[in-house]
Amino acid sequence: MMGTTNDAAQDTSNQKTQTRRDFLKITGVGLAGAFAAAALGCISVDTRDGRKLKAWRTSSGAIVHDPNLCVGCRRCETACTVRNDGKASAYISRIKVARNFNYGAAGVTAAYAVADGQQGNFRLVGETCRQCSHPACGDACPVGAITADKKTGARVVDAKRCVGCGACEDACPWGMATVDPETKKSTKCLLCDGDPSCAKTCPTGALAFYPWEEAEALLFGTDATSGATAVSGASA
Amino acid sequence: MTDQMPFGDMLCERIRAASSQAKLCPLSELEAFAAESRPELSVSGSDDTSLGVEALLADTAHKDIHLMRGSVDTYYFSELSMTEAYAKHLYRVAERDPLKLIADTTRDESRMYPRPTPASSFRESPFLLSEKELEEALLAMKEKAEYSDIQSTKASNGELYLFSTQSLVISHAESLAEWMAVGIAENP
Amino acid sequence: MSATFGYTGKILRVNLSTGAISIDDTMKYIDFIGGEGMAMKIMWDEVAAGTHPFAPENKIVFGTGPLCGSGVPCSGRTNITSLLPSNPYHAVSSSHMGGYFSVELKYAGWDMIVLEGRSPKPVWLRIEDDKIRLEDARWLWGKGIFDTMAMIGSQMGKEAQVAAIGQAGENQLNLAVIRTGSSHSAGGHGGILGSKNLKAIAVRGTGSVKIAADRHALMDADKYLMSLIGANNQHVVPRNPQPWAEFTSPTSRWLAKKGLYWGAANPPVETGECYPEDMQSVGLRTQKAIMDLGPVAEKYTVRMGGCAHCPIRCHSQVNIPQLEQYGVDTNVSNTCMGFFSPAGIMINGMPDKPGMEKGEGAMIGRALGAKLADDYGMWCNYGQIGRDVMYAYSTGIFKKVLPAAEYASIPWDKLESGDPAFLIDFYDRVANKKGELWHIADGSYWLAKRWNFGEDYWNDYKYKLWSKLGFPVHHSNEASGQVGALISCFSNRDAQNHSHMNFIQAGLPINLLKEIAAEEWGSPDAIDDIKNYKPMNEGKAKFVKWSLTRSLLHNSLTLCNWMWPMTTSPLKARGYRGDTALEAKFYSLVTGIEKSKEDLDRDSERAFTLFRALTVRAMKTADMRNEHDQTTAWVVTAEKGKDGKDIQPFTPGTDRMTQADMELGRTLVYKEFGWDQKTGAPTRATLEALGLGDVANGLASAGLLPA
Repeated sequence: MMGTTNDAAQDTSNQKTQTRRDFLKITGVGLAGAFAAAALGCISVDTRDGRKLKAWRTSSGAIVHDPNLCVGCRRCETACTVRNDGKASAYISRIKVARNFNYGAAGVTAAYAVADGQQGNFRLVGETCRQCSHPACGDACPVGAITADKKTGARVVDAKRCVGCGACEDACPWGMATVDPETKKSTKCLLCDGDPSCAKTCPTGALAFYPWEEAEALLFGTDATSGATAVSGASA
Repeated sequence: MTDQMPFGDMLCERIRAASSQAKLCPLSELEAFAAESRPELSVSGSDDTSLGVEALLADTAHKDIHLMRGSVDTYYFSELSMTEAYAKHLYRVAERDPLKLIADTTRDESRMYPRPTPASSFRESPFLLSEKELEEALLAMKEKAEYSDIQSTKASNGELYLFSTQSLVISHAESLAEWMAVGIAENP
Repeated sequence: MSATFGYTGKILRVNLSTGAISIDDTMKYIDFIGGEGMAMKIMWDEVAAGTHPFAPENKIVFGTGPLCGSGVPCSGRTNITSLLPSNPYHAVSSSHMGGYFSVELKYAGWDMIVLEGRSPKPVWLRIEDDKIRLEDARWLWGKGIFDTMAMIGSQMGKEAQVAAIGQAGENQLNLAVIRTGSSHSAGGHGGILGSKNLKAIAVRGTGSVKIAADRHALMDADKYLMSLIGANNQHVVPRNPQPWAEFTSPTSRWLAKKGLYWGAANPPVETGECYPEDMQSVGLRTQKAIMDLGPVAEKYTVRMGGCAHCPIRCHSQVNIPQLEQYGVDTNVSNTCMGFFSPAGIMINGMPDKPGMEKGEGAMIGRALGAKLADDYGMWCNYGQIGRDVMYAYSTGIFKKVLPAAEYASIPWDKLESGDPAFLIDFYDRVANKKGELWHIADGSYWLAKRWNFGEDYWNDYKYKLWSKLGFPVHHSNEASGQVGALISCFSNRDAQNHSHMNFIQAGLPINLLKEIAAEEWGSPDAIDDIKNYKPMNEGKAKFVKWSLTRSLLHNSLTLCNWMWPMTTSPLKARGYRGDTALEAKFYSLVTGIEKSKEDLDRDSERAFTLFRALTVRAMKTADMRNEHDQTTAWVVTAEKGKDGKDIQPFTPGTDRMTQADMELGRTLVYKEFGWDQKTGAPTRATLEALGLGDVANGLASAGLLPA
């Protein structure tokens, strides 16, 4: 279920990013542990104070949404769910455009007519999975159903192991992981085996896959162009 | 690598590169390039390289390369990134005869669609005539017998349309012009 | 109810009088496809002839179709069917809206909503998956649609999709809309929600539309369709010469080109060359703001919007700061008639004020009117309201029919000078039912009676009335002669048909169109050169029938008839052919119910014939030819050329028809449908062959079956 050395990402820049971030977090594990994490996708490690932490291989990248180009057709949502779930849905789409579509991320305000959204200034802020270096969803999963995909490094749900408890949904600071009310299984962005269906279907190129370093800057940087603010003190 | 490429292929690549940038490739340019890089291509006893380049291109079996012979130059394009229709527009522009450009384009549209041609379309890409050039050309055409089939009509919003009486009768052209200028907008 | 694909299988029924909520089975209506088709059956079975549209006994059906929500391109539309208040016989008719409402409804688990009765107090209907509630709407009553949506969103959550009426609907104007999203209006049925005391329907759905086929089969079909799609109205050639294009059309809605922008995007977005093969620029092809509002609007264009699951964006979304001086929000979204009809009300135009750019005055006025009409929920009867103002004003009728004090209080000077502020006053009076002026929203038939309009109103081309039933041209004789003309003869309101219009305006040379026409309708003569029409023939009759039934099919699936059918394509390699079997392909893939193109055509014919029977029943006559299908006189009167002489019909330069030729046209179309060739009413044999024996019995018992 976890990546092997052979399948691990070959991009050394990815690994650099990963190690830089995770060294700070996994104090006391030591270099050997971190390198093992990078190579294997993800492993559990024990911290000095006795907590269990997972170390993750960095994703090959992530999908980023451009609010300036988005026309709000929401074809990405059905492209995502038809490919990955065999049915069409907005709620479980791993690309969340519907959510901020009407009134922006802030929801209805007294100033809705000039705020984001189709009822306002027409700016559409879609949200995409950040494939976090240290994914809260994966850490929260009590059964280890979320791991880094061998090929893409995306944090993917193993539906066979998922128990539908919703821990990932509660944990994700960006509200991306979603339990499908019909199957009781968690859904989150799996990067479609390296060929994201949403990006292919976007009629204006507003959705695109970026290699990790670029994606990280666009999604987490101070001039982030995509997505909404995390609900509470989230970090990558 | 390119050193090993047959020269005819190199010429084709130049033509394709031009087409992909929405440009024709004139023979004169290819000749200059040939004279510089392969002077031996000149036909012996003559300093005219055109025979060489043209012959080479005719010989090179690149089905995508097409030629249009004009009075100013001869032009090549590749159908891989340009349609013949667009190449024809560029050819007419390159021949630097606005009267013929306007007349031939108008005749094509009057015959094919059929429809009159908005005079203003010649101000736009790829024709890009200035207002003055357009006005002068339209005036000059009235004096020339070879353009006597080119007539104009104004729609009720003032927009000027041209048509060829070879394909459209006046009443038809008038009503089509009104439809295109006003009718379509009123019936969205 | 068994598991279904495409269909959710459930119809939500709400009785507003009693508050009773029940669930019905979609699949019992399966012979009628979905949306409009199924609604016709419900109206036939459940609403008695002679019912007033605003009576509690009338029902209104909000319909989606099996493809809606599946992600099939251009499948976001909602069909609304009920008795039509503006029609003299209150005959059944449909209105449609785009947007995201129907998709949300599907995801909530509902194919349709059937409303009946009248609530004792204002309410709104709350649908959260299978949780249904009627909520108090007294705090919303009297509000415009924008605020209504926001207030409901603040209660129900920002993701809720809302369909609502404004003051015009509350006040039961005949010309009122039901609107959803920023700019998607269904014209004609707003007053029915008002009469039911229902301010809005709001939906939130967390479910899905199930796909019967292997997911990759559907994805492949999607990819194939996307290779055939053009720009808005399925125009398949660009407006300006492009290196990749063989053909161009100066009237194409494929407007994208180098140097043309969404100028108010940040940073501005260039539409660019938009190669047909490039799936990441499809949404940039239609920079429609420069059509809707003029070239001046380029720099005010924030982006193009549209409907759910449609890659073609036809709603111009602009930010015009100049609107602030009129006290309205500066962000405006709309398309086509939404912008055109306010300009029609401003009968003297809206000239640019000193210091303005060319066309700026008209742009401001159009955007202002669109925003106001969208907030009040006013319908324009497909632009007719402006020509009604023109007639009443130019003939002095306003002065005659309005009380003197009211007349004096109207700022006619603003109308005269072309000051868009006139629209603020106008829409307020009409939507809020003030004085006598508001009757302008009765619709042409009722208005002409009330204000005693002369015959010239009906007979003069400039007022563009198509039928004495009170509706105007909408891609009628100007759209392929008899083809558009006959299409317009079968509806109870403006025809709203684009099956033919998209084809004839695709932008291709006539010889190519004739080849395709021969393949589709058996004769190259099904289509003529524009403005050079030939007498009626069988090919045209087939084209008419196909256009009528395809439109109904789209309103049933639901697909957008402003894009579908895919008769042509931008692909030279295919000889610019599209694929008119695609509806059936998608239907089969999504629902798992295998249907051929001919099967769906037959289903559409069944539903259209039922629609015809509904009209016969409403008008209490089988003589459709003389009582329903006639045009106003100008259509069959020769027009004058520039030289002042008559241009004879069927000569180059005119789209006028003759009465004899139109009668032949009616006969040939009746024949195609298997209807009585004398009256144009459905016969027992045809009804029974279509499985509509009960309809035949119903008509027979009312003495309405042709002999």
